[in-house]
Amino acid sequence: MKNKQRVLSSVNSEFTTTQWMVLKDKVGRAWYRFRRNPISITGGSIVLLVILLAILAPYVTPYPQHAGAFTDFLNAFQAPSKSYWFGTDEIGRDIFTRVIFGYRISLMLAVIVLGISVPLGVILGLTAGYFGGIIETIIMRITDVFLAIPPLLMALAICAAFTPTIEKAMLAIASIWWTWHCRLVCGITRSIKTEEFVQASWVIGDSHFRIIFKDILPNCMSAIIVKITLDAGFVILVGAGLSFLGLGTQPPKSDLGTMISYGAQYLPTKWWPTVFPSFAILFLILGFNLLGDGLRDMLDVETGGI
Amino acid sequence: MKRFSILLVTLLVLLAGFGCVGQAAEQNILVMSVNQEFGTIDPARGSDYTELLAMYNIYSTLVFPDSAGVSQPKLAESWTASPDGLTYTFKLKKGVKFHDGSELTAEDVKFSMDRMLALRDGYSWLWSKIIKETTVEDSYTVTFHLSKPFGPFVSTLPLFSIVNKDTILAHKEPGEFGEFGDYGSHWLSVTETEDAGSGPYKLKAHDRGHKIVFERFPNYFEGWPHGDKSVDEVHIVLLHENATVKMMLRKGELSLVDHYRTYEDYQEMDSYPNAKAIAFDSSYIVAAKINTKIAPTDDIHIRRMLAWAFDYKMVTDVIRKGSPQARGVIASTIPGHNPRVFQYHYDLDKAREEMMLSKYYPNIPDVVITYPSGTEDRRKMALLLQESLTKIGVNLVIREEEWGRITELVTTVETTPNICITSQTPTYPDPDALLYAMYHSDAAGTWMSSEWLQNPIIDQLIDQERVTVDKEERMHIMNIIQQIIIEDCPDIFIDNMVVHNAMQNYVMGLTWRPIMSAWYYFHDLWFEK
Amino acid sequence: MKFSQFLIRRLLYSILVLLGLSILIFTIARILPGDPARLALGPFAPEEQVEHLRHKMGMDKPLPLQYWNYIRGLFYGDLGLSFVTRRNVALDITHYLPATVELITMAIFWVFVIGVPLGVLSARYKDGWLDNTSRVIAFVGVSVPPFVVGLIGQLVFSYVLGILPTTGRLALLTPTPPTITGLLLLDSLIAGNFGTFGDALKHILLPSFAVAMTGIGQITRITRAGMIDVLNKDYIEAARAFGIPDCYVTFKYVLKPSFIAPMTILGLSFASQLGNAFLVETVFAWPGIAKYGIRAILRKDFNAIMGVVLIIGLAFVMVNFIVDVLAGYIDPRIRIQEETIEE
Repeated sequence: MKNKQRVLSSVNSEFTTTQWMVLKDKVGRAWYRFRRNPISITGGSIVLLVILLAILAPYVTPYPQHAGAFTDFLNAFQAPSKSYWFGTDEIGRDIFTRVIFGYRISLMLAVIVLGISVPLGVILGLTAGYFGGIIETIIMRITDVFLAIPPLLMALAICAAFTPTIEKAMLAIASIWWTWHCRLVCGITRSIKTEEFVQASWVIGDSHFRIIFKDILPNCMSAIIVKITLDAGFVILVGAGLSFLGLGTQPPKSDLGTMISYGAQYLPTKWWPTVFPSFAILFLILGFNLLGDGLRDMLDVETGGI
Repeated sequence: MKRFSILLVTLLVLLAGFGCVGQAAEQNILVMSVNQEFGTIDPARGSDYTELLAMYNIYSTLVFPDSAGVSQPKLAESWTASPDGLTYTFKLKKGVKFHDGSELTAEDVKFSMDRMLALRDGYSWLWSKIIKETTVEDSYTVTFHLSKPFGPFVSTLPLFSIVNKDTILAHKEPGEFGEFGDYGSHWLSVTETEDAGSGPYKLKAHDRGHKIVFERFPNYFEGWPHGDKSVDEVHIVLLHENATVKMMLRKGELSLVDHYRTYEDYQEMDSYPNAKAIAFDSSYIVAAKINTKIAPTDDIHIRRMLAWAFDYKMVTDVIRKGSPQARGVIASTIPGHNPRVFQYHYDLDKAREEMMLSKYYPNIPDVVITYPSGTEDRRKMALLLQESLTKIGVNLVIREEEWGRITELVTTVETTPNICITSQTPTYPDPDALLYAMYHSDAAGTWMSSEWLQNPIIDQLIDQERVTVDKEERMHIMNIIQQIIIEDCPDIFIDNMVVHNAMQNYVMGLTWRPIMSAWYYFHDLWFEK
Repeated sequence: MKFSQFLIRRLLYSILVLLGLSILIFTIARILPGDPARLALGPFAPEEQVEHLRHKMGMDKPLPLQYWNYIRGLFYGDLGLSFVTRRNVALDITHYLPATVELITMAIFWVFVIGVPLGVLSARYKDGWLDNTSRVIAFVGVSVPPFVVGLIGQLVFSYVLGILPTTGRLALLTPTPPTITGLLLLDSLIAGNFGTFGDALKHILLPSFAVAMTGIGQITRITRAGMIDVLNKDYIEAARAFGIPDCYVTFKYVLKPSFIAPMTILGLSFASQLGNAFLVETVFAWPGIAKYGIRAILRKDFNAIMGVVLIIGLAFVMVNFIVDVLAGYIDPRIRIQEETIEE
């Protein structure tokens, strides 16, 4: 591990002015590096753009009602034109509008999955790495078993057992995802455990709880942040795969994977219901990956993976 | 880098060279697409449309329906029924050969029925409570002894295939059936080149999950009226992707396309210069089956509201152009259809009126609708209904489900959704096939009976028609049943789905028969090249 | 620790994982709501017929007993009967597995044949146009869903350009070569049937590439990073200072250590290839284990689900085992710090 940032915990657990200035300086420099890196700029812009579009969806789309209960069979399969930028689908709905609303679902998927799996994985990883011994062995073996199954298969099995809704898909993915963060944090914890400043806290008599959250966790943060960004992309990718296989949202909502799956039947003559959502999802995932990569360079972190 | 690009170029050249694999086709080979695997080709076990397809071509049955659904003699030359309806005697044709050359006799018929009932699989339930015993009178006469009269008995016989007793016993393995061992089940489940049939085609190859191949049986007892133009080999290929199917048809790699593609696909395939699409008025009924026992659809006014709120014309004129709107539960192609049954039409005002008469008004609870995933047209129908209902203030919740899940949801009243859109075709060409399966209390708990009708009057009427042997009387009773059904409104009867098939222009002779897969009888076909 | 000790530890660990996996999947499969017996027999089968099938499948016994019977059966190669095909699942799997093995093998081939050279050249000509292009390709590779690659590839190469077939392993009328390995490419070569070989090759091109896309992206970046790391090392500078020619330096001193990096993620890459295979097999109607598995899940074919998951788990564990052992063999440091969580 290179260039760890040492964040000393003070006895009163308060940030002194010097520490504030140090932090501001660090953030300023990081931002500078971020700005100069074309990869992170591109990634960040893409992600920001999509998030804005998704939030403002009802206002920026030409036919917001097409995202709901709407049919117009007489206008089905219109090719891309001035009135329908991405054309219409088999129900006669504007594809551009539905793609933007589809982004909402993709982003929500990422938020929920990571919101569940990251805290879970981090806590378990901290515990395993810090306490070591039998606790670590048990936790690590459990993660091994979960990792032995391709996530898609596991998610499929869980999803297919119940009503195939997007929520079940999210839960299914989250049930596997925590393992990555767990392993990551465990590894970092183990190496930091032996550092001097942690030893110092021990000597002072800080409780385990304080040591974990004041000394160890902050040092994991950069790696976790980078991983979350990269994960967002991957989670959306897996989610798209699941909905492509038919385990996604219910009509009339459509997430991007489902749109591609429905549209694939009409290839090659009616290519637009498939091609535009495909590029849309590629765009978003690419954005997250670029951003994550840029962040990693910026924070100079090894996540021990891709 | 240089070495790499040289390698790449060489590879490409090799590809171009070796890619052209042609096949000299002196034989008439029919290549057909299906979208479902062949689970089993044991005729006593099969019940899916692909399994039946194999059965009708490899095996023969006593009778076989014609285009109007009337059972015509096939292996049986003639038959008689006793006046009390408890005994049916069949006289078999002489000189019918199995694929191994031996003759088909009454022994084989008895053996086949005993086997069917013993294995308790596939369609055995049709006869398990009805046939008491099968006896052989002489080599060409066999009698079925029934425990109670069963009006539609002869109509159900197309589902009963005759297997070669000697072949089966020659391949038997240890099993639970005493001297019959396992009745040859294991052999039939693993063989890829053999069968025990007497049908127009023999099994040539079975590449599970991919394709199955039949080859012509020259000594088929019905002969080959089209001589050289008949189909010599049939390759049935599993293809899910509609786009692939279309392309292969266009390129000439496919000869016949199944009926499970989208309506738009058939339009497109018809426009290809080398192909045509044909349509059959089928016996399929597409209905939105309403659960009559849970809120809010337990209220007849809500059900009628739904029937008035559906835009039938959008289906018959746009979504599936050419399909006639359904009139009652029995399609007009089945003998026994009642043409005077009331028919709803799209009228939001009437829908609103019914809604206001309902006990749930003004806060109508959500109505949940389900259909099997992968069915495009039914999704469109669900969306159509949802839009209409939104206009009158009712919320329709759409839940697309895997077929397996649907069959499981419908096993109890509480879990059956309010509405379930399915298409069904009678298993045998008699209205009883649908009436019993959909509305009789004994048939509750299946996807076909998700209405949970449980109406004692209907039950009684159905029981009556089943034991009535006189045709006229049966039809009369079934007409009454259809009237009562439409008044109780347990379904939105949408349309009688027109069945489309697409094929090369030179494929001729595909003949409609109104039971599942029976029109894929390749003996009918010939090539006009 | 000694190498043999290392080996044994790894082996025991793998078996433990497999056991855990089997329990997990068994429990999930059995508690999944759904009645596969009813599903298999159709809606009209009378209850007693369904009961009969359930009894035959052993579904009426208590859960732990079912599990024990199942594990016992495994040792006899009996994976239970599939509800759908009524045959031994083991038979079904041996039928479908080769197709997927062929697909993934071909994909891994692409990953190394394209990914590694690209990564090496990228590092060699760092910040040049080649480096930038390959970095873009790598990014897109890890960002694009494999079914999108498949669909777009199909659209462009099969429909528009018409030079590649759309689905399947062989053209419909091409005879299948006699089955020896089940891998069509091998079997057709063994049979000396070059026409079939070419046809099989044409069919596997697009699907394997779609599966490989993510892997290519990953390997390129890892190789590049690894190589840059090595290139900065002192001993390389020393070698150059001594006047050793560049080519020699690259191949003898740089390449070998750079291989460690891509190899460590081989296990991970294999997992992602497998996941990709699920999606790609659907797009290309590839009759492999993934399609079989999906169908089993959707039709609640318990024994088939178990069989598929176990086989995949087994393959995964085996691959990881081999990779770990190889890595431990090549790099003694790994043996020493046994549990590096560097995945």
